[in-house]
Amino acid sequence: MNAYSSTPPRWLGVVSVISVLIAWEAACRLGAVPPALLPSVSTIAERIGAFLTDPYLVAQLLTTLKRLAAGLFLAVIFGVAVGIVASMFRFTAKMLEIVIGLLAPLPKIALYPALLLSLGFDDAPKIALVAIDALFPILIATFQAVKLVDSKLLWSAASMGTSRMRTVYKIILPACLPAIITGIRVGAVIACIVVLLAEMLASTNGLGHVLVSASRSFRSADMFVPIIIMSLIGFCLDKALAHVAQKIARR
Amino acid sequence: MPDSPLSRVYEPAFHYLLATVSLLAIWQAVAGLVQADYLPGPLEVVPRLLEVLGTKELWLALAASLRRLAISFFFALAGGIALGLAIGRSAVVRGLVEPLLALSYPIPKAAILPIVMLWFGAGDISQIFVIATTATLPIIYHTADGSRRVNERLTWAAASMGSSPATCLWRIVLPATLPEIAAGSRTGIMMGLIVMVTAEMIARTDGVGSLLFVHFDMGQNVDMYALILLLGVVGLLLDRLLAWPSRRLTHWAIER
Repeated sequence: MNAYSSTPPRWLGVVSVISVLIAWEAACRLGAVPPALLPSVSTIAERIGAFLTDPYLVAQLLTTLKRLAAGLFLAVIFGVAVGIVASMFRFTAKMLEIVIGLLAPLPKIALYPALLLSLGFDDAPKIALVAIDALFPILIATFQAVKLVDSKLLWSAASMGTSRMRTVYKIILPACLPAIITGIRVGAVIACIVVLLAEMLASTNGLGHVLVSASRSFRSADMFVPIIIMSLIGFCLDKALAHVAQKIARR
Repeated sequence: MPDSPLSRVYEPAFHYLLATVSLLAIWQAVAGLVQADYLPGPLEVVPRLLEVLGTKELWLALAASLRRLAISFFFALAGGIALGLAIGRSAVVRGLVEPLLALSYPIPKAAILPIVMLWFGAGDISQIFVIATTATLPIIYHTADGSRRVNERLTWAAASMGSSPATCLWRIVLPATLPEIAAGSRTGIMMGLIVMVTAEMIARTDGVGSLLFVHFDMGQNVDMYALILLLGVVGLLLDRLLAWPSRRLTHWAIER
């Protein structure tokens, strides 16, 4: 323990967040920045309130959430399944490691035009992009966690005649769950970002479309609303998964 | 002879080759199965990529993109290390800034581009702002984390021998944090690359992301896939490029 590693008091953070918000609001109220460029905090808060009571906008939010959920679900299923199966054999593990190394540095968003061409303009390309983008952190976390499972556990299971399938269920999956959830946390935040971007680039509905139409008509306060809502969803999803991980670790 | 020097060199190389060829083979097989304009196979795309590598249009786009990424990365590195050291070495700064950083983490950085474009226009500055902001965050996190965990006996010893706090920071904390800074830089530049492509797709001024959608709009599918392949190669090269100096600079560090 030393002065640098001591935890600072919590109120400092509360002070800084509140003072940033007050400074922002004051700058707008005092006319230091034109409201067309930076709307005040209170205006944005009011627009968020209006958003949540407008049936059209709530429908857009639900559309986005549906795509987010579908993409993330696919990423979890594929990431965990491929990660576990590939790490069970030395050759496939080696191959998967190289394939991840080759494909992970590609900016997945570059695939979006190709996905639009192949899957059309509806939900499918957005869901596919979310799934591809969220897949990698989940796959990598799973793959590395399986490698670290205590081999003594696997040997003793094998020596007592446990089948491969049962070993996966009874030992590998529970042992890797905390690491997998960490991977899902990273993937979930990425998924929230990507679904918004995909809708911004090509969509006629969803939160991203709401953002683009606000920007086309220079309604600056309305541009902040989808971004803040999406950030909050990402933030809450991340915190909720962290909570789940903690519960599992304590068990 | 699983561990002969020869096999140690050739086996990984062979694995790499095998993985690359299998990926391309799968792509070609799928393309052959669907037989459609929207999915050309690598047998069509790779020669096209080599062809467009000789055109001025591609190099102009690539130069515009990489120039933006380089400028952004420079600002991210300077700002990220400075702020990271301040957070890591001062509990007060940490208390003040960390909650703000935690709140900014889930914000879709590329999505704020339309707002930033209201401030700075559709040109370079807006895109550089967004790319730099993205790349700064991981550098801050890693620098703060690394500088916080520097062995205090080193700084105590230096201070007792009369080093000023500034000298301690420059001669001891900064070098000891280098491995973490290198790790943060690698994450930062890869995230910067993603946001670079996205920002170019949204702003549609110039650069590879913009060119990608130009090909998409004009139905030049093979060119589009060639560009995607090129972006994959650029990403791979950037990743390797940053891995090399980080190994050179920090080979003494214990792997964590």
